[in-house]
Amino acid sequence: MSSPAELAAERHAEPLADVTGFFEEILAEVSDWVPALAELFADPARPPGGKQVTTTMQPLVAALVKRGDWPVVGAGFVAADQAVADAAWHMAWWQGETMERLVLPALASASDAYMRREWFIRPMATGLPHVTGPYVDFLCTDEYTMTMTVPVAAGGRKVGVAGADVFVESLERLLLPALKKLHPAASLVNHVGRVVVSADAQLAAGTLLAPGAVQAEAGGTLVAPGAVQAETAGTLVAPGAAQGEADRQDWSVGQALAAEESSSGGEAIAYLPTAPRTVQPRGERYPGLKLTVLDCGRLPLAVVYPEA
Amino acid sequence: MPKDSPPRQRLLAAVFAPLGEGGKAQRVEDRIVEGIAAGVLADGDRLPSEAELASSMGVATVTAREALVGLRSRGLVATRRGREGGTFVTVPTGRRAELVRGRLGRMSRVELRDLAIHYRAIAATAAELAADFADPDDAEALRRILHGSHPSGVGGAVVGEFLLELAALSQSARLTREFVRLYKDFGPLMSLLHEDDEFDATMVAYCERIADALAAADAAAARETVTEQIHTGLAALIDEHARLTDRPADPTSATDQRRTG
Repeated sequence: MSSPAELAAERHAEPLADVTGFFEEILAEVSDWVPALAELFADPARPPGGKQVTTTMQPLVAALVKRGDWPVVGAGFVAADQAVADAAWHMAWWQGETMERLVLPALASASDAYMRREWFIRPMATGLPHVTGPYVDFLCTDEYTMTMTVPVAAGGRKVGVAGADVFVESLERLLLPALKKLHPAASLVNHVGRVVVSADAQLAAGTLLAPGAVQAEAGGTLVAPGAVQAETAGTLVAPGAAQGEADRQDWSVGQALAAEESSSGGEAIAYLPTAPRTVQPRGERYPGLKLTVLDCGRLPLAVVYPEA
Repeated sequence: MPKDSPPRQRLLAAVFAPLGEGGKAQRVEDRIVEGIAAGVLADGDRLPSEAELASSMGVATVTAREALVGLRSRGLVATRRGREGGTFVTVPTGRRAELVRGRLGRMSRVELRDLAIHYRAIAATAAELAADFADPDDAEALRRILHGSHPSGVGGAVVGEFLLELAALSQSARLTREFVRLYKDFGPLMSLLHEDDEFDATMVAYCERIADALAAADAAAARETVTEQIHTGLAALIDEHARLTDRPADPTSATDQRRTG
């Protein structure tokens, strides 16, 4: 009675969870800071000072950055424009085991450079967790980096983002075993289809391989209610109706299924189901082949591999 | 208050990077003067506090304080007390340009060309890789830099920001760091030329063509256009250098001219 898609789903579920688990756990860790921050910023009439934010964040970040088993190279909180009382903006961010604090952003006029970065504007705009990169981070780490960020809302406004950085190179050892289990040429790609790490040794990180693999509006991605147009929302799961809807869908492999409470303000949000699908690879690596896409649940990531 | 651009942020990092041993207060002071000359620290910018400077540059607080005293006595910074207080850069654009012209005048033509060759090698390779790797959104984001507002007040800031973002799109951290290191030398010199609106427009037009090449994923065109842009910039820079060193009244530049032939 199991369809080929269901069999594939079963086979893929565990290694896919191993790939996505790292990102999920880091996002969960930085999400754990949100209540403390929300409390600080609870009263819009009495916002905290920068020093207060720094003092609150320091021990939380230290616990994450100093964890020996994770390659987190830096983490912290970036306050939105005018969110703290005594400065135009504030950055409480630390790097390395020595917890070196980034002081350059203390220059008040630095906000512009930071606040138009994807890791800041995406979660601020969507209210959802985001994974940025791989990118050359010339502002903070000076290295090829992935940044995981979550929005922080308090007192009815978005007050900033909390997040953590990892070096792309550290993901090779961490994710390759699980990727190889999925397929000998499986690649983890980001939301624009750029390779994060690939089991195909000849595919460099940063290669634009699978545009369209992660579909923000119709993929397996977390979508806020009302964010999707009716035409693309044929498969939209209404908040609260996810389960019933799910029963009638041909869910793609590795898809997160349920509607759930958002971490960013209690609004119901839903995952959108998609049929198993393929995309056309970009570039010369897989001529004449298509790429099978495995969604990574609520993460703006996908695993793709060439179809034989 | 002037706004920051990423290259400026990166350059700020160079200004406040850790120091080695010896003559530390003087070296802290020199670094900050370099930063001011490069336009990285603009008129009205607040410097980090003594404690932050000390921790960032790896010196004692007393050393950072000594450096600030030195800067104050040269009239490059001023300290204000109170809630909105701190130490602020007090160098008008005109005086900054003077500092840069001084540096250009002390360089030889050989040195200038060599710097431009190295800079071009890095920037052109970065552009080529960026065209291979860029997605359409990247090309659009680059274009937005050219069309955005840039109240930094430093000539060429838009082009500098464009080129740094371009370098980062190479997806190579090493290449990007090398670009930043070279731009720190080359950028301030170019900023003198950018005071001329026509020159600025020419350089921005090159950037538009580079963005076109990225959008078309045309690596060869990206490389060629960057090469041409730097070639044009260098030619103008050599002219400016000749004007500066031709002044017979200045014994320093006369020496320079003999030396470089």
